[in-house]
Formats: sequence, structure tokens, C-alpha cells
Amino acid sequence: MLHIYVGDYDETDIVKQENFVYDVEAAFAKLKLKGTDLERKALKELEQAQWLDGLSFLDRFGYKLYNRYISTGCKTALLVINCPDCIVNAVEAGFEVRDFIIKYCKEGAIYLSSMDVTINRYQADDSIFSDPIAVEMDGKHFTDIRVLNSYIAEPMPELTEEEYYTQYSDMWEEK
Amino acid sequence: MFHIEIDSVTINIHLEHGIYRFLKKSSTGKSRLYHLLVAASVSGLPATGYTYQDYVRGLDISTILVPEKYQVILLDRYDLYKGIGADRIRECASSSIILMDCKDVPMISKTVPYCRLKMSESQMEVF
Repeated sequence: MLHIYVGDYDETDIVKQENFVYDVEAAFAKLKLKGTDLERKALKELEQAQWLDGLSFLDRFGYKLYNRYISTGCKTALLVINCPDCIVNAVEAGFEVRDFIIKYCKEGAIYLSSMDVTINRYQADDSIFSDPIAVEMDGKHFTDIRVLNSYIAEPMPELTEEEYYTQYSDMWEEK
Repeated sequence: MFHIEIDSVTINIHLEHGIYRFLKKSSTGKSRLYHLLVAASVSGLPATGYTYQDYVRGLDISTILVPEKYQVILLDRYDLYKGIGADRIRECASSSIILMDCKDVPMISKTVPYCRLKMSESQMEVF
């Protein structure tokens, strides 16, 4: 399950936990990438880059660079992938990184100061991610990105996922 | 417009004096621009940068908030040291271009306009 913690930094206890990773760059420097499918996917989708080995990658211009030059956002995703027991500070991550983590990471945890906009809000195409997700937020479990989006748009804590699905299904396009 | 060339990269900043935030998008080249502007400052050019690692290492942000010396100042990863140097940043904005990498509300002013960064191998454009 991917846990998403949202709240003001000065008011949430999550950031005081021992497994909270505040500085993504510092934590990533201690990480060794393994070249898993998900790591390669993160590099390709978030960085327009290609995995080479545990030390380097091929950037969007075809240059071989050390992994330290991966963007902070992509490093955030790679940390979530490799450190499922950590709560990763994702405040520095752009929307597309947040969306990638939600779509593809089935375990781990991230902290955000707010959700801001719905998932896929700034994607080039209008298709909604159809694979199931595994997200826990505010004590609620989400397996459908459309339901999560409904909750982000209009949080009603008393509704279950099924009730959200029923309430908002007529607003969604058919697959 | 501000224009420099450093490390064989042309940097053009098409902005007036003031404070700007980069769009909330990852992997656009902000940290690369930071490194280039720091290299520029070492070479005596009127641009510089500051990032969280500088803050952790104890470099005082006020040493780079010098509009008489720097026409462009990039504050990289400002989310992690948000609020630091806020008053001085506001003062500098009247005579420098301050670029902020800050995904969250920067706590500098009520409205901070967005700017975009376009990057190629040998060119960086901010507008």
C-alpha cells in the first residue's frame, strides 16, 4: 500500500518520525539503483532518460551522466521505489512525479503539503489511468484513480470508496 | 533581457526585475541552471545561485543576495529552507531577477508570478 500523508509541515507528526526522509538528494546519494523495471520506467517517463548501470544513465540529449545528475523529482520517485519503509518528503516533486508514484508504486509512503490538483490533471491526453492503484490517504483506501480524484476534488470523509464510485461515476467517461 | 554564456551554454532570461517561481514541474533543468549560474559567478559574471546543500553547509544566503553584484539569482530547492532570507529577497527583487524553485507557497509575497525554463543541450531560456 502506498501511504500519502498530506498536511502542514509544522503541524504534522509524520515529519518527526525517524523514517522520514527530509532531503531527497542526501538520501539518494546513499542509494544504489538496481535497474529494476520500475526504476527504468521512472527514468524514461520522468527524466526522458535511459538506464545504463548502477552508476550512470543516458540523459535526454544522449549524454552519459552520473546518477547524481538525475533530477530531484525523479530521485523522489526512485527513493519511494527503493525505500518502502521510508516516508519520503515529496514536496519538491512536480505533479507528474506525484502522479507516477501514485500510479505505479504499490508500497512506500510520501509526504505532501497539499494535493493541489487531481491526478493526470496536466497530462497531454485525456485518458485516465485504468490499472488499479493501492493508495491509503486520510485513513481511506483507494484502488481506482478516478475515485481518488473525486476525493481530492471534494473530500467527504464519511464516504467509502464504493460510495464515491457510485456518486461520481456518471461524471466519468467510459473506458 | 539577461544573456550570458558559460560552459558553452547560452543562457537567456527574458524577464524584468522581480521574483519568479518556476512551474511545478520536475526535470526541467533548474538544478542544471543553478550549477551554471554558480559557475558564472565564479567566472565573474553577474549571476549566481543558492541551493539547500549550501544552506546545510552553512553558507549564509545573504552572501549571494547582493543585487549590486548579481543581476540574476537562482534559489534552487527553496522548499527546504523556505522563508530564509525572505526580507532580503524582497529587497533584491527591485533590481535583480530572482528565480525560485519552490513548489510550495514561497512565503515571500502574496503572489509570485510563474516562469518557464526551456532547456536544450547548449541553451537555456527562462521566460
